[in-house]
Amino acid sequence: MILFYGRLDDAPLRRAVEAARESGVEHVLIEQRLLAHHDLVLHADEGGGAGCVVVAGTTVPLGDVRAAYLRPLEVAVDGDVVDQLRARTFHAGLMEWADVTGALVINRPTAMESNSSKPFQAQLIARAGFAVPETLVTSEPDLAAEFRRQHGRVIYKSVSGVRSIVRELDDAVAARLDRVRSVPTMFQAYVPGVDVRVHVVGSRVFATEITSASTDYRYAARDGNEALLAAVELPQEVAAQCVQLSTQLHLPLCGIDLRRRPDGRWICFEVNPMPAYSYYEANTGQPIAQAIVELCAEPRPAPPLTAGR
Amino acid sequence: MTDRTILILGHPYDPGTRSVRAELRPGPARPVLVLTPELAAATTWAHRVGTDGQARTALRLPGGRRLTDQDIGCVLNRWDHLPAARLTGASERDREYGALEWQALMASWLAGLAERVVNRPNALAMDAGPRSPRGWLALAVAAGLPVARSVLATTARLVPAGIGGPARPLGPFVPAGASSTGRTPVTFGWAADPTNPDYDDPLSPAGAVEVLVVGGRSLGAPTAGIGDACVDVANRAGCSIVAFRFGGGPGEDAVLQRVCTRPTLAGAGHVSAVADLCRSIAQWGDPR
Repeated sequence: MILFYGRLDDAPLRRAVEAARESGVEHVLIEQRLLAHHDLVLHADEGGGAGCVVVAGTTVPLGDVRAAYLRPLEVAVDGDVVDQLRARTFHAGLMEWADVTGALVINRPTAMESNSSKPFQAQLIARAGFAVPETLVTSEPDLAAEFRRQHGRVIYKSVSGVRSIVRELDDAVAARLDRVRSVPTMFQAYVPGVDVRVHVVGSRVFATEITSASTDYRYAARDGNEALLAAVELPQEVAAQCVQLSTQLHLPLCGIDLRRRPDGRWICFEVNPMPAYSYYEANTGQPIAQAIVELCAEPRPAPPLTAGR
Repeated sequence: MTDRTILILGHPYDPGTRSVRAELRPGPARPVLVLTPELAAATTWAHRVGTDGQARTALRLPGGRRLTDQDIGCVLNRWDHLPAARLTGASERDREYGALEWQALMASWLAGLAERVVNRPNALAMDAGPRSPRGWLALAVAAGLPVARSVLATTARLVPAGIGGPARPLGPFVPAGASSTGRTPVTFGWAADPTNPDYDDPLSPAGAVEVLVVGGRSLGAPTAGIGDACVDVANRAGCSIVAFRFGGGPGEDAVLQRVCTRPTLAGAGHVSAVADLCRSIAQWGDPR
């Protein structure tokens, strides 16, 4: 049994649910917008622990769940205070279960946390053998200006995973560098080259090359540019490094942002633990949703509880 | 010869911060610095990550003192809140954003210092170890510790009979009568919460036993087996300092009820054990 958790208006979750349905794989969907109408019971004792979810009147023992694909978004519930409390409790409880169950979880909440700090994650990425961009996080305007002089072109973005739009540090922004005194800001040496987004699903690798004039191709339309996506094959050693990286980060599914420099070297910017793969799938025809379902449906024994970190 | 600095990420209102600092007997040859979130916010930070992933950090404190990674021998993490962004008239959303940015910087800085950090946080929060009570429970069960039977449920009517202890409604506000409708989320038994301020009263209720793990050894364990299991849990959690509270019954019937990674250190020998650990790490590295 595969457990899906998230919102059906979220394309990556919807695509995976459709793929499970088309494949005839047994699954249960917990629609996050209806949490107040579902129930959750979690047990813990010296024998381990499990529990159940009750979805649309049907009880599903959590011990029957062999794999889970989670796309947790913000919990927003209409209804009274009890409905909201029930929804928050359900969400928090399910996330706790996802961290300790022995089932395959795509992805465990604690494993997703590395993306909450880009420089922290960069240290982990480098351990998998990828080079990462030269990075400075500072609250000192002069250091930021010096970093720009040193590297010529510099981009800036949030240190954490929020408000994570990549922008180039141009003269206009440089004139306002005093603002970094209020909160440390992250600067990176600009890396020339071609963007390649790699989705790793278990040991399978789907690479997409993106051509765009924008600094951050995800926002190309807003910049008046376009982004062209094409499926590509990675060199074998780079593909293997990507799988190694996802394994090291305990992320059975991830979106790895690479750039191939003109000199052929590869730089890794970050690893997205909850990738919106459907955008790439729709543009390239890569069967990523199907791969997720196939990974989840692989035979595996009944899950024991596992460590929580 | 001057030792490397022992840095306590702590607070003036925290007895643990004050007592460990005093026990370390700071002096010219043994620098000890309490870095509060407020001091961190007023400090100039330069945190670099090279293309090989190596992190290097330099701090310039108000007054001009500089601290680089090479100057730091040990960091004891006892922060219960983060620095605030220095934004005047900031919205709540901007303040939350500022806290996340600080968290992200702290996590990366301390990751770069690696085993020199006691109770190293992860990317999302300053707390060390598993994020949830259930994570601690799973580790405790795996280590063979007796744990309280517990249930979390979105409705009391799904909880089987025979669960010990009273049901505690969840949430800051439960409307009168809601419990009787069976819709209210409840929890039974386990009350582990590493950030729970209730934990500041370490030995209540009466009869509770606290085991403190410090740097791979246990203090106050009722049996060697319990002590070893607590050390095992701390190691699995990646924590050098963890307090475990057992209660709910006399002697061997006691079960693990709470876990805390920022213990008050009020028990006999606690402060000196933590100070010894900090000194040892500053000199030799983590003994675990």
